[in-house]
Amino acid sequence: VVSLAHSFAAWLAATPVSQAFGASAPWAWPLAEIVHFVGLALLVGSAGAFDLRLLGLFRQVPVSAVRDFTRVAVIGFGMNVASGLYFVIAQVWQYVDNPAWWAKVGFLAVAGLNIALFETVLSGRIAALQPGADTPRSLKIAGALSLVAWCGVLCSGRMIAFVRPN
Amino acid sequence: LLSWLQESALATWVAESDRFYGYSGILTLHTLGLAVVVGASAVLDLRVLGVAHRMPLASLRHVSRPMWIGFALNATTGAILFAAAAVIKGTQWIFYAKLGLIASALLVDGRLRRRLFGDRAEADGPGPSPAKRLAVLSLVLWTGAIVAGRLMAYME
Repeated sequence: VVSLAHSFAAWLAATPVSQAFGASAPWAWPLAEIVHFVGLALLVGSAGAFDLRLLGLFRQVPVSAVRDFTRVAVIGFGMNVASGLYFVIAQVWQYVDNPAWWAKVGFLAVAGLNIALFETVLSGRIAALQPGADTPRSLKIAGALSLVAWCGVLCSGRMIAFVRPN
Repeated sequence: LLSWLQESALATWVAESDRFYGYSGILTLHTLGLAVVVGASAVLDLRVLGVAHRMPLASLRHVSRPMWIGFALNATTGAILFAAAAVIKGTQWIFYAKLGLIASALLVDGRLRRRLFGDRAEADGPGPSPAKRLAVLSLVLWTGAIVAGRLMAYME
């Protein structure tokens, strides 16, 4: 896997896109960071509200109504995919050997699998919920896993700057 | 005063520790707190602006709780991070801009919550209501605080 990642990094770094991104104006990187931080706040705030509802908080509010907020999380995630791709394409060697970055990828995979499981298997259980009723254990687990995974993504992402291997 | 602060035992340890619970860990907590404060505030602002309108506004009455938890975390971690580099940060205009933006955002959020949930809460008529203007202002000010905070890393 490591050598596969290395050959991919070498290929990516040689592409014209990567070289153009790497040579972009000095304000481009800070701007992408700002987009990344605003996006993470939108993502964590709105996904977090839904996760807390799945955990059984503010039960009087219909789950489907809180779920409407996850659209904001999708927008925040889109901002972070765009700015994150910019970082990786511009400076792929800063990430490919960085354990914090791989931890972030792992947490992202957990969050993604959790969403896939929720959308395919669990979301049907929402309609059956009576107002004010406690959420079933399966939804609680999905909510808790989501909170943990996104916190993991954020924390390991922030640590990327501090665990540069050399 | 700034250099005295920076040379205090805690500040020196934070600045020089390469442990994960040193500078990097505290900065990570500061980022987590940012997500909680700004995220919770944005949820209320966007609901006021019509996003997820099926959600009863009254159910967001307690959105200030996670906000204050996140704010307490960030006031604490922010003070420690400031102490660790007090001489540089204390002379950066962008740092004071960030503090001003945060203070304004908190004031705007407080006014918005009083308008929505206070004893004299008013029902909004059609058109751009005062609550909607406060919600837009809140989003702008928090975004500005993030911009200023990020730029602190780039300014002299």
